Amino acid sequence: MKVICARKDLYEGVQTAGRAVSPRTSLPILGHLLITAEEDKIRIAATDLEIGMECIVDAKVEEPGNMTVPARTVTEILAALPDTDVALSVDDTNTVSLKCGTSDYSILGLPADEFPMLPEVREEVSVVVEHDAIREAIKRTAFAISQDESRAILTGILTQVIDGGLKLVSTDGHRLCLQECAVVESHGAVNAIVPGRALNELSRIVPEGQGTVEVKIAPSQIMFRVGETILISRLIEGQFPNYDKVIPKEHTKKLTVPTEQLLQSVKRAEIVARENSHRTIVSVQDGTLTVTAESGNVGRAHEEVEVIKEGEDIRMAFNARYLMDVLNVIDTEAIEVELSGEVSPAVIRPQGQEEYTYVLMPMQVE
Amino acid sequence: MKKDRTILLVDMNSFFASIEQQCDPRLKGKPVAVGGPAGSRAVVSTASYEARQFGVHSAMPVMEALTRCPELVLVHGDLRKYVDISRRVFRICGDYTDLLEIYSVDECFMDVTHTQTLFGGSWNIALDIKRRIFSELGLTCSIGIGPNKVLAKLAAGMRKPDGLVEIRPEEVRDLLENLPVEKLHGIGDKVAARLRNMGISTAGALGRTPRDRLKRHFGVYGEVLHAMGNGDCDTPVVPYYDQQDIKSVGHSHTLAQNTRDWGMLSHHLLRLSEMVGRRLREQGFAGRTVSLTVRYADMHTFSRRQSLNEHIDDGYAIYQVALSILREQVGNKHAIRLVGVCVSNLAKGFRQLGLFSDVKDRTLLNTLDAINNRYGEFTIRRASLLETKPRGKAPSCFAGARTQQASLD
Repeated sequence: MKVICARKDLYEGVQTAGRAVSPRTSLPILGHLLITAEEDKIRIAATDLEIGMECIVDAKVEEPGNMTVPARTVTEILAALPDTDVALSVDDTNTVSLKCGTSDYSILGLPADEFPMLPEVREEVSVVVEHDAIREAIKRTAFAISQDESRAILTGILTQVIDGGLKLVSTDGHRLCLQECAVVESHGAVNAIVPGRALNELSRIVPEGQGTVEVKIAPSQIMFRVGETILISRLIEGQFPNYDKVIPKEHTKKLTVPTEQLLQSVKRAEIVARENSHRTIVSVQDGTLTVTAESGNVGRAHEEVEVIKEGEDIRMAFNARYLMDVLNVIDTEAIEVELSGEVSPAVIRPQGQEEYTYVLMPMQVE
Repeated sequence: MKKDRTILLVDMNSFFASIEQQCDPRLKGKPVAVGGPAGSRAVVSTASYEARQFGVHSAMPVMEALTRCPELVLVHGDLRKYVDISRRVFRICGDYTDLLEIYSVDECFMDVTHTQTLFGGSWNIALDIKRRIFSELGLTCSIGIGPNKVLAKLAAGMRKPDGLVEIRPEEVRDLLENLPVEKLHGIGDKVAARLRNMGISTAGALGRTPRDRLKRHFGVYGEVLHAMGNGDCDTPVVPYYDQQDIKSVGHSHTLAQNTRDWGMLSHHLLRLSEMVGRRLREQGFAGRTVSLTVRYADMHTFSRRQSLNEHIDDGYAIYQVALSILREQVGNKHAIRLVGVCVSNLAKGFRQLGLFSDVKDRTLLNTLDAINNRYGEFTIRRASLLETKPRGKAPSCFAGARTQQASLD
């Protein structure tokens, strides 16, 4: 194999694909990138066996073929090279030659046929979504996935395709996010649990602005195509908890709260609350919402925010971090909060946006 | 608080064994040991002074004790009796100061700095306590008097049984000069071994070692070691009403036989976890870190821990974490002798409610607790723990001094 390629394009390619390389791996080949040359382009692929990435870079192919290179070494070299053409070739001992101007590197590769094949995702269900819609949906749900590996199901986001729509649901057992997403077109219906990491990587490769992402879901894999880049992930097996059951359908009190003001108040109170399991007391009396926190070692915090209230006064305890998390991803001026009792879940929505729901369990008030 | 304190340490002599001898006069003058039955793997918890002459000591396997002293009288312990006597001892001590810190079932520190003049000085207080404990309970104790806790403890250990030793500030330097470091209270075998490696074997040498050098080796603890080497210690005597909140709750168990059997190990983990969960709930705590302690047949002991995202107090949840640590981080390559489960990183009254955990689970736990509080631990239990016998309501001597302190009220 022998190719010539612009340094900048090649560098971008290895960086993108390299995100699927696992930093700690017991299999040396998984620390490598597979580079395949065909016609007038090269494909760069990487996988850690959970997710796989493949991207295409324009190149002048003098001799088709394939090679593997250690991802980290090549990325570092390319980052430091000047912006001219890079020539890549490989000999039959798998030694890769990388030449650029007066720089000449011989890098030890591995046999390309050792590289695991990325699975072919046999399409059963497909959806096409706009860039902005999927980016926003991931931003509004990914923060609430569980970090607890012992509850594997909750480390993923439920991706539900139904009736020409797409829903993303995440929960860590304390709070739950549900985002309904408009689709350009869809075919079939499925419930798939996508690892949080795959969706976070997806939101990195989806550019801002116009364009669509094509999603294909098979029984055990999901594939996203963004322009010339493909992201494949395995799905998490198992049954996602019945989320609909925990979304309250009724409420006895409703607040309308300015988003930014509440966020800033909770952020400040958290400085005190973090010493005390992040516990803040939120109480509403007439038109004033008060956020207080207390810690034996630090002191007290008291914040007030003007709100519109329907229903009786209430006093509840919440984890300040969980409040900040949701306030950070809502960009409407106000939020609507629906409450029932001091140990019942709170429902938070951006004002006028029914498509997003955040359900938050309070802390016990003792 | 630092200057001119007078601290007493009252240490009961071979407490459990002496009580048994006092209760049953036939045992007087005979080698007596309190511990599990012969033929088991139990250890001696206390040996009378007569038995100690044969080399029998606490924590020695019962079988070995019987080999050393064939005429040894083994008595099965009665915790209720010991706790009751222990309370009586502490009540006597409490007549001389309000600053009384119960250190274990048979030891307490007393700060008499401000009350000694009322009773004619610390020496007279000590004599009075010894006289009353002997005349009211028939037991002897050793009392150490010193300007701080470390020296009081050292003094009490200098003459046993029935001793009374005072260390005066002006004697400290000479006394510590050639004192082996491990004689200082708070320096265990491991620290002593590390100090020896550094060429420090006496308290005097420890005191002369530059503070920075000790800090490099032991971190913050280096500061404490340096002070101890100089006979300084500013730790206050903390009476029960000033006690800090507990930091962790744990239980451990020495298995009847060393084992690699998952079934056996998980059974004990579940039982211990349930006990830890009960104690957490009893005190209103929930913890975020679960530690598993394992001791192999060769006595090599270590712990592994796992922190969670949420606070838990349910025995079964604790068990699941402990079991996963055992499976993933410890394994069963070697036969295990002891397992322990401990929950730390505690918080009180801040339970984050769960979306999916049913209110029913909580109600169930509360109901089980109420039943077990009334009829004794494990009266109602998981079917997998059917072989575990209910424990009745006997107090535990090992439940920690804190629980006993509270019971003094």
